[in-house]
Amino acid sequence: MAVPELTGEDLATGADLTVTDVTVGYPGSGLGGRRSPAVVLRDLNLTARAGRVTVLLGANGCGKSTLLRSIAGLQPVLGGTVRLGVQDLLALPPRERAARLAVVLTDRFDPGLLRGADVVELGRYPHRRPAGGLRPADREAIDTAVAAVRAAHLLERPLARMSDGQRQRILIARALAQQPGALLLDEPTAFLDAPARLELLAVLGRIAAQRSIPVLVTSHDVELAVRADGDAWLIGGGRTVSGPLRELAADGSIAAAFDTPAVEWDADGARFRLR
Amino acid sequence: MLKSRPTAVLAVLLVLAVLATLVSVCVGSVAIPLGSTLRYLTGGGADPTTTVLIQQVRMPRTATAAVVGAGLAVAGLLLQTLFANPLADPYILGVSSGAGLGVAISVLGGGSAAATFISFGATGRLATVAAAAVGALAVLVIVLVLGRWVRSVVTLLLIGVMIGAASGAVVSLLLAFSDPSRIQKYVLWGMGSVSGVTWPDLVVLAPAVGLGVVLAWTLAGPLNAMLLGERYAASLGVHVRQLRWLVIVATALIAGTVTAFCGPIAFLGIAVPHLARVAVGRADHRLLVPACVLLGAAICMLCGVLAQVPAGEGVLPLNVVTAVVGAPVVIAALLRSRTLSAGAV
Repeated sequence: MAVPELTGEDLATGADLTVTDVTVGYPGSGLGGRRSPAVVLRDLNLTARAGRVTVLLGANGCGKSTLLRSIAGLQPVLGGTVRLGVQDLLALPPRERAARLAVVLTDRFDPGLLRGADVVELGRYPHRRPAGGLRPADREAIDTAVAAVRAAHLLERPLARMSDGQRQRILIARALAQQPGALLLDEPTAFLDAPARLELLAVLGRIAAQRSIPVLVTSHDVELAVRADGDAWLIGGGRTVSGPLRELAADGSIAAAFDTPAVEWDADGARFRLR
Repeated sequence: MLKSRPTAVLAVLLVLAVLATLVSVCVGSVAIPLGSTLRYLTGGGADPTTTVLIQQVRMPRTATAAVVGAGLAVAGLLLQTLFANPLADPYILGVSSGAGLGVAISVLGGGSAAATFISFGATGRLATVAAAAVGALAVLVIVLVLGRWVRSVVTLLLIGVMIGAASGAVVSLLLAFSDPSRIQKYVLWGMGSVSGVTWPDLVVLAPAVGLGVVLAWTLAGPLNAMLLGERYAASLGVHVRQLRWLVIVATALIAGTVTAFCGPIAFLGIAVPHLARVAVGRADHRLLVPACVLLGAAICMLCGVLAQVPAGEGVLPLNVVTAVVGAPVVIAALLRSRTLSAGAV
C-alpha cells in the first residue's frame, strides 16, 4: 500500500462540496448481480458551501444516511459525481480521499482498550507512512483537533468509560485530525441532551468557519437545525431542495416536506405544532 | 511516561521468553543441568550424550514450540480484530478442519483413491503432513473464492464455520467405518504435539510461520483502524477488502503450516492475544503483535515442558496442557467483554 507523501498544500480548504446528478441506493446484489438496483434518491444536484454548516434534513428512512455514506465513498453511488472544489472525490483511491474528507458515523464499536488519544491518533492514518511514529505535523494536527472540541482531558481516558457525548467529541476530534477539506457527520446530535445538541452545532459552526470547510450534518431534528443558522438540504415530499435554513423555513419548503395530517410547521415559532 | 509501560512490558516478555527457552531445553525425560545447557548454547561444548540430546531432541522441540506459539498467537490476534470478535481463533475459517479432513482421508481411508493420491510418494509422518497441508489449502481456496462475493465479514465467518462443520461430518463418517488402530492414530494427531518435528521440518515450518508473522506486523496500522469498525476504517482510507484478504492469507499460512506439522493445537491462538492485551494494556497492534510473538512462544514452550512431566510414561497431549491454561482465560475474556458491553455497546 504505497502512498505518496501528502503535504498540507495539496489539500485545499475553502472549496465547496458539490453533488452533481447523483443517484444513490443499493446496487444489484446476489451472485452475479441478478437483483436489480434499488434507487433511494435520484438525480441530486446540491452544494455545501465552505465555511458553513449544511444540515441534511429529512424524516427517518428518507435516505439521509445513504446519501451521506455515498458522498463519503463508503458505498458506491449509482450515478453522478461528488466534487470538493474541482477534485472528483469518488475517483480518488480511498486513502487520498480520506486525506480530503472525514466522516463521523453512527456506527458503534467495541471500545476495548482504546483510549481517547488512540482514537484521535487514528485520524492521522491517511497522512502517515506505514511505519514510524508521529511526526511534528501529526502532533500539531492532533492538538489542534483536540482543542477544537475541548477534549484534552479525555485523551488518557478509556473510551469504555466515556459518556456518549464525550465519545462523540473524541470521534469528531479524530475526524478533524484528518485535516479534511470537508467534514461529514451522520446524526451527531442523536444521543445528546438538548443543551449538548445546541452546543455541538455551535462547535461545528466554529469549525466550518475557522477551517473554511463545508460541514455537512444529517439530522431529523428540524427545530434544532432551524435554530442553528446554516444552510440545509431538505429531503421530503418527493423532492429535494436546498438553501439557507431560515429561507426554507419561511417559504413553506419545510412545511411541504414534513407536514402530516396531524402536524404542521409553524414558520413564525420555528417549530412543529399539532393541527 | 506514556510509552514506558508498554515498552517495559515487552522487555519483561522478552526475558520470560528467554527463560522459557532455557527451561524447555533443560527439562525432559533426562534433566540437563542449567550449567551444561548454558555452556552448550554459548558455544562452550558439552559431553557427547548431552550434545546429541540437546541438538536432536530438545532444540527442535523448543524451536518448534516457540514458532508454533508465536504464530498461533499472532494469527488469533489478527482474526479477533478482523472479525471484531473476542472468540475468534486461528482455526475459525476452517483451516484446521480442512487439515483434519485431509489427515482423516490419509489415515483412515487407506486404500481409497483419494488417500492413495494424497499419500503418493510419502509415507508415515510425512504423508500426514502432506495430507494436512492439502486439506488446509483446499479450505483456504474455498474461503478466498467465496470471499469474492461476500460483503459482510460475519458472512465470511459463518462460511468458515459451515466448512468446518461439513469437514467434521466427513471425518465422523470415516471414523465410523475405520478400525480402532487407525482411529487411534487420527485421534493422537488431533491432540497436537510439538515433539517429533525434526530440523528438516523446521526449515519449512519456521519460514512459513515467520512470513505470516511479518505480514501481520506490516498490517498493524490498518488493523488499528479496524478497531473502529469496518466503515470507519474505510473512511480512514483502509482498503478493507484487501486487508481482509491479507489477514486470511497470513493466518491460513500460519495455521495451515502449524496444523500440518503439529496437529490442531488449540486454545493458544484464542487465549494468548487476550493475555497480551491485558499485559500491554493497549489496543495498539504495533505493540500487540510483538507481545503475542513473545508471550505465545513462551507459553507454548512452557506447555511443551509440562507435557513432558509424566517422565518415562510418554508425553501428555499438548492440547490437554494448553486447554488447562486456555479455558480459564477464555472464560475470563467472556466475563470481561460482558462487563464492557453493558456500559458501552
